[in-house]
Amino acid sequence: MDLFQQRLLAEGIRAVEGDSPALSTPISEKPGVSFDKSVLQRALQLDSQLQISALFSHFKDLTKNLFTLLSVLLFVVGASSVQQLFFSEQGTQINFFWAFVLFFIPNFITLFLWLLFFLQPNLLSSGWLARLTLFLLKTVEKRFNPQSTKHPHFWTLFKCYFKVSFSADLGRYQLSAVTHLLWLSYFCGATLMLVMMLATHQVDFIWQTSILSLANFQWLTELLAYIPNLLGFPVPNLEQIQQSHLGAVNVIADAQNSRLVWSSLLISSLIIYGLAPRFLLLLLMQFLLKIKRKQFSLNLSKPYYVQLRQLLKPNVTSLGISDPDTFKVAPSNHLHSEMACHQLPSCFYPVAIELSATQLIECKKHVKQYSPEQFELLKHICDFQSQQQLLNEIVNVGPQAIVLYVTLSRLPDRGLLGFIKSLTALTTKSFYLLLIDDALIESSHLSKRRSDWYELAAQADISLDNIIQFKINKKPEAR
Amino acid sequence: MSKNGLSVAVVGHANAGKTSLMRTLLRDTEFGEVADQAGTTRHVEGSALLIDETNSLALFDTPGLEDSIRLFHILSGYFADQSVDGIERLQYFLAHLSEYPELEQEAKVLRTLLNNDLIFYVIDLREPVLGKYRDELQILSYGAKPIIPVLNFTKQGGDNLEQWKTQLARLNFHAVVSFDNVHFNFSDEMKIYQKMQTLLADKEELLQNFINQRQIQWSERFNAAREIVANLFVESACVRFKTVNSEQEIEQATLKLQQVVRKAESKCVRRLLKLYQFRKGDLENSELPVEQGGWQLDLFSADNLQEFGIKLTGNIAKGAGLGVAIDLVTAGMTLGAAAVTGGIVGALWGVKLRYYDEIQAKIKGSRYICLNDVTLQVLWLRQIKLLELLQKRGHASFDKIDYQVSLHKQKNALPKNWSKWLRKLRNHPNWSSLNVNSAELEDSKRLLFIEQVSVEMVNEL
Repeated sequence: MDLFQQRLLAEGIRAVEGDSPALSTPISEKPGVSFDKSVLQRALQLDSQLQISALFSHFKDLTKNLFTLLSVLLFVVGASSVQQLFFSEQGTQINFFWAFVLFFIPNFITLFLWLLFFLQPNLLSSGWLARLTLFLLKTVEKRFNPQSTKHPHFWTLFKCYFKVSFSADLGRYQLSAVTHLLWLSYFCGATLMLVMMLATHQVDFIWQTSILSLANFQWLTELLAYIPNLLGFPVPNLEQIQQSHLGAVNVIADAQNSRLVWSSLLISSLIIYGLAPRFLLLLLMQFLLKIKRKQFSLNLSKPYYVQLRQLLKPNVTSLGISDPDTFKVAPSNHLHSEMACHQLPSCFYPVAIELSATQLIECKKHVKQYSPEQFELLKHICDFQSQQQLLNEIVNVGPQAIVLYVTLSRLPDRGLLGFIKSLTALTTKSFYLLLIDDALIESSHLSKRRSDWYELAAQADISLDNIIQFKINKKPEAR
Repeated sequence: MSKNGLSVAVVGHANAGKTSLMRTLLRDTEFGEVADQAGTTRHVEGSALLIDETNSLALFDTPGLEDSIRLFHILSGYFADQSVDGIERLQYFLAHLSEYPELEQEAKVLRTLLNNDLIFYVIDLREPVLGKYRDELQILSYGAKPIIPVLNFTKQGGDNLEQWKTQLARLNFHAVVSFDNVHFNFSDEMKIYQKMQTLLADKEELLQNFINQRQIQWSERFNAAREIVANLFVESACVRFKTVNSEQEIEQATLKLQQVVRKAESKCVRRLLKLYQFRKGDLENSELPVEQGGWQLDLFSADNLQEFGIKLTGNIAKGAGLGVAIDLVTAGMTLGAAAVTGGIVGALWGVKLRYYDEIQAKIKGSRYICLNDVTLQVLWLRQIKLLELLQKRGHASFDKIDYQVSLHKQKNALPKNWSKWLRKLRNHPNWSSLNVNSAELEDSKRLLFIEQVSVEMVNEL
């Protein structure tokens, strides 16, 4: 399977899978394999279960057979047209220029049109010719291949295959090649029949006109005969051209020679101006088609391939756990998540722990209101020094109750727990935990956070009855 | 830790957003465990972002430094009478860890700190600069590794920004980056890598390759997402259902049309979520809209549509059951153009393909039902909003994605070529796979149109 076929196969897989890669394949972790190649490998793996390449081979044969059939048909048309146009029962004379016009003008027009369409990148591949070809292929398939519907993705793959074959540059060259092939067949049929008929029939070549002069025809014939003459074909000379004019007196001795040169001119013209250009164009199109097939690539920026890249070549790999936790964490008890509403003692020693400037202001207001005599003693604990200072002083404080102001917006951590535990261990005074709720924490998290503080209180030997919540009604801001 | 490429340790206080940063950088909603609780991450876990076949950027998530005050006090107590480097203090502490079993989590952080090339110190900007954070920074500075302070929660913690910057500068941490894990900004992510380039001069080229690769991936994903949205727009604008011209039949066909379009939108949303590596559950009311194809807002309700300030425009918007006029003039042009080619058979075939159904419907008195203009506008605006949200969503975000259309009229601006697009799409029923007849989804003109819509979508975002 060449690269084009493999890529076509990948497109087939894409057609079967639809918008997103859905079929699973074992991911081969081969280092250094590009994404492009991974896609092709995946396509090959999936092909064994989907049988897409077999179907594509069938489509290739179908196309080949259809074009061969059309070529044969055009060959017969070419041959029969010679018989019809030149060798009717009554006629023994052939109007040379009329014959030339009948053969070549349609050819020139279609050649010109082909060129016009060919120069526009998408005109040929999205036009009626592509549609007609597809219609013919579909009709043939439906009529002569009743087994076609057995494959679950037959028509999807049919569309996919011919979309690739008949679209963009591939389609342009493919359809151009077909056009030239059909004209080539036509000219082959015509030339062959002409040679056969001229070999077995005796006809005289004449030319006639109502408006053109003898000089015009002489010039035209010489022009036409120029290349055949260069290539060694016998062509009519000036005298023979004049003699062939309708009504001119033809010397019997020269008649045979005249027939020969005019026949030679007609056959060589068919070959040189009809058959040869089409053949060369056919070869050129085949060559370009081959190159384009080699250049055919998958559009990896398509959403399908972007998703496939995430699957086949994930840019993240897990390195796992390198320093595992050896201690089992005790499950959280989720103590008292409901809001506590206990009373503060009438006189207490206030301690603010890790509050922001705003929270500290609120804390001070609170202390002023509920324990004004202790206001001056309020301490803000936010570093090692202040922690040590409080630990040193705590035994000697006057009030029997100590209120720890903490904020609900802060997560209780091990450091804080350790510090509060040290405090409660030093004295038998009653500790209160005042939770400042300044609406900075989302309401959905509030219950969990409150529970975390209750857990800390329990671990630090603070009675759960001594937990008080203090709500500040203010607009949210930084902690 | 990483032999090829480079390795980064993500450290910080408990709940600062370390695992969230990992998730966002890795685009992995499943990495680690994220919870509003201290000590959620209790081990060191790593993942690597591949730079190329041999190099990667390894990121290691660490437990939170919960008791930095104590740790710093212990570290300061070592070698009191000697002039010793911080790194030796750390090594001495790790060698005597058995004396401090309660600081096992901190020890893990220190080990990771010493084993990696660079440190991301994640800061919850909502927090004021407390003593414990200053101690954390001091401890990290002992590691003698380049440190990038990553400011998280920048949106909510803006008031503390200056305070933090001043404090970081005092400790010689100048390579600060703002990076909100929830309100994601790709350019901020790039800034992190650029800062890394500055700090790790010997890895500059490698990091440049990595930056380029990330940018390519980002734009590739964005382009793919735009194509998906443009495709839905084309599918929905081109869809039409043939029905007999009776009230009952029209009603049935309309219902069927609505179902089909809802399904197509759900599919589009699913694809976008998958592309951006988010979960289905990240959507607001996800069970309904994505799984079952139902919406909170009835997309087809005229009353609801009016509420969104979308102006009814043109003659198309007269309800969901409008017949599509047959454009015979275009048919004539097609015929003429084809005739010029000399392929009369081909031309007739082309006309047959495009207009046969309309002509037949006219003769038989049938009509076509298509999606009205307003519904298409809502559909378009919803996808644009969703795309915008996905572009700015971090993989650590827990908020539900709500892509309902805004009530503000000024936010509901449509592309300037909207009417032109609609006219074109209405004329190409063969471009929608939602139609019963086989669609030409790979038609080059269709693909070109989708590309055009995708390009213009950039202006909308």
